[in-house]
Amino acid sequence: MKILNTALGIAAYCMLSMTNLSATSMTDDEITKADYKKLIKMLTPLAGSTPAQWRVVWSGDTTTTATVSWSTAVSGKKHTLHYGTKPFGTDVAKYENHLECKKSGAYSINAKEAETTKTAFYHHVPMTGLMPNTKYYFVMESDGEFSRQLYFKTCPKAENFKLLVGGDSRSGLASRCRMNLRLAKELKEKPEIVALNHGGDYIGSGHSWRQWRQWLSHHELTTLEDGRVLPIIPTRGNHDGGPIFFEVFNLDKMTDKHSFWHTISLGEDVQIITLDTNYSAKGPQEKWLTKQLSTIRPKTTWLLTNYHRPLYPAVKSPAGQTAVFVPLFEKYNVDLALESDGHCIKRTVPIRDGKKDASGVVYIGEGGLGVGQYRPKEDLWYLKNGGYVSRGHHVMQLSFSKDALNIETILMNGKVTDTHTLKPRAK
Amino acid sequence: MHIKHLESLKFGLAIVIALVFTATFTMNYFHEGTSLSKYITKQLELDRVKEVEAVAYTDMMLYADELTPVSEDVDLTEKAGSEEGFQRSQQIRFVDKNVTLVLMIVAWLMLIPALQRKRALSFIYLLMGMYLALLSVCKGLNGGSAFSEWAVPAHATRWLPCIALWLWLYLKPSSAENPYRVVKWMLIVSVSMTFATHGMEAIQLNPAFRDLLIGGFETISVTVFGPVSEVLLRLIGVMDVALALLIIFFQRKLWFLWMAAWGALTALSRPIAFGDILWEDALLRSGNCLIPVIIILWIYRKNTQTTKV
Repeated sequence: MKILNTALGIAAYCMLSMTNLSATSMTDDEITKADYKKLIKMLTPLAGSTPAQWRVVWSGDTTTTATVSWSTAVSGKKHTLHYGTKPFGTDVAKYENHLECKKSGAYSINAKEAETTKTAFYHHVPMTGLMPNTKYYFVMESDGEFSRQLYFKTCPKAENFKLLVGGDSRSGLASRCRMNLRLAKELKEKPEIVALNHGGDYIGSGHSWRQWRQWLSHHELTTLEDGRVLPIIPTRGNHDGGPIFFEVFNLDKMTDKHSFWHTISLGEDVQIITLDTNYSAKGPQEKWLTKQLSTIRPKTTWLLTNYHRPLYPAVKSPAGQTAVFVPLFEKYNVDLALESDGHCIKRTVPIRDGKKDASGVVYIGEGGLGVGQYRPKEDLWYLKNGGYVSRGHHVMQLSFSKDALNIETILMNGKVTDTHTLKPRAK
Repeated sequence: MHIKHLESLKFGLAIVIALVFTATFTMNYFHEGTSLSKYITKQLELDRVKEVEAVAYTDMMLYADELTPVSEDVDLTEKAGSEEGFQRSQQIRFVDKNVTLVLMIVAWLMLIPALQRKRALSFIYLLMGMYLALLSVCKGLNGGSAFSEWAVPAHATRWLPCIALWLWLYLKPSSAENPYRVVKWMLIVSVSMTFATHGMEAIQLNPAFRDLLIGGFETISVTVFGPVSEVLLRLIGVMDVALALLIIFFQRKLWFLWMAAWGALTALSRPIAFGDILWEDALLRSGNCLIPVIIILWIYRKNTQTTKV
């Protein structure tokens, strides 16, 4: 086993350089037909203390904070993040900052899987005091094993930027990987993209480490050849129950029932309130949401809400939280609600008081980051006469400026299938 | 017990079953497919994209795990195109809708006394019971909602009464295997299973129950704060579990009366707390109220009637 681990470690090192051949040099057509086995060979194996499964997680103020996380196959003794605003490759001593990891642990593994599978170990390094709209180069080190140099960009404070929005990557491994290539290609072609807001249902069973580790490895395909990492804004889906979600994204368990909600600030003009549709709408979540909306709405140009189960669904029945969330969204004039779960493409007309109203809230999404697609109900009133409904693997791109919020739905082959523009509300 | 009275109870049981199938059809037709069709669709989709082989290949290549034997040369080309997979899922959905439609119609037709008297047709109720039980099993397998793995016992008032009615219609009253006692016990066990499971969910603070509790109180202008709702929910859970156990050992009218009232309140709490969009949800849970009512009438008549069958 030891020999095998060493071999995999060497393979990992070789693969890192092979990653330079990756994804984003593919054509749109090649992305839709990408061979799963070839893609897997491009990924970093989880072996020994080689840093793998890296991700940059955003929660809170994304102009000044971020968390770099990675996994190793063994627990290791010392895990350090070397980072700074200048690139020094793997000459880690030259970086301006060296943060030792204070939050490491074993990913939870259920008893059945533990009989045949080993768990791995997470390492989280939260960074604060970052500068807005700045490239941060970093190298992860675990017990003397180094990652290649990677980087991410903090969110700009006031300038225009783009955000990718998608959800539902829980099955269809090849399609998930191809959609990751699509995300990478979008990031490469549009450097103003800052992050991916993943609307949840990363995997089929939130209690399965075997499934999570595959998702984590596949996520590497969103990293560009030059090392740029696409930060991720996490949302909890109905299939993401259990503790691993919190271990993957370094999120604190807000209550004893593992609920999760938080507000993301993307510069001065954009705020996203992330809710948990696995948790009771009434009670603490309603109270928290009301406070957030009443505080944020007067200050921000674009106010978005983000959660997994749709309130105005195109496929399934409305989430149990509908009667609580919708009146609050309308009262505080939310601009856009991001939804997943239905496995289709959807954009509703603006809705207020249960009918089409230009001053209402637009609901978009339903998820297509790999999962098989369902047939949406095309005859629903909120999807006709100005709304849009379809199916296909997709990601949505939100382009924010002070004057407009442009929404584009991009299919796996790169084609834009729907566009829509929102104007800011009068203050 | 008077035969005429038993006939009316039998008729009542058949109505409960018809109501459950009406709700099943309505939810399926107007909202989303049954858990069975979702399960079949998902399995076929995973098979189409060779998910098992892809997982095994990844396990081998990235984690040095060979949990499922797979060759490095394994062909992971999808068995069929995504459009073909989609069309197949649509066919399943079509069958799914029509199966629930037919079952609903049959459930209402079976209220005709002449049909109930035909022993051969009693098997329809057996099939209906097995179908509803299968839906619960699939709900558990699909996952994705809190406590879905407990769906089989939680839904006992839906599927077990169907099997009870089958026995009732199939076995001859004059035969040695007098069905009444067995049928009555099946109904009691179904109520007990449903209440015990819901009680355990309440004790563990099922998020949906908390919403119903707070929402229900809000309709009478009473605000229940977070910690209070937790205490109330746990107390309700303990009450449900206690009643579920009590009715197994001591069948008292009062307890069933309480369960009937509670079953009605919790079923109706869905539309009460969240509006009329959830009336099918209430209908689906009609057995939680009406099965205890049938048991009460059974016990009541047994205690007051001198005529024995």
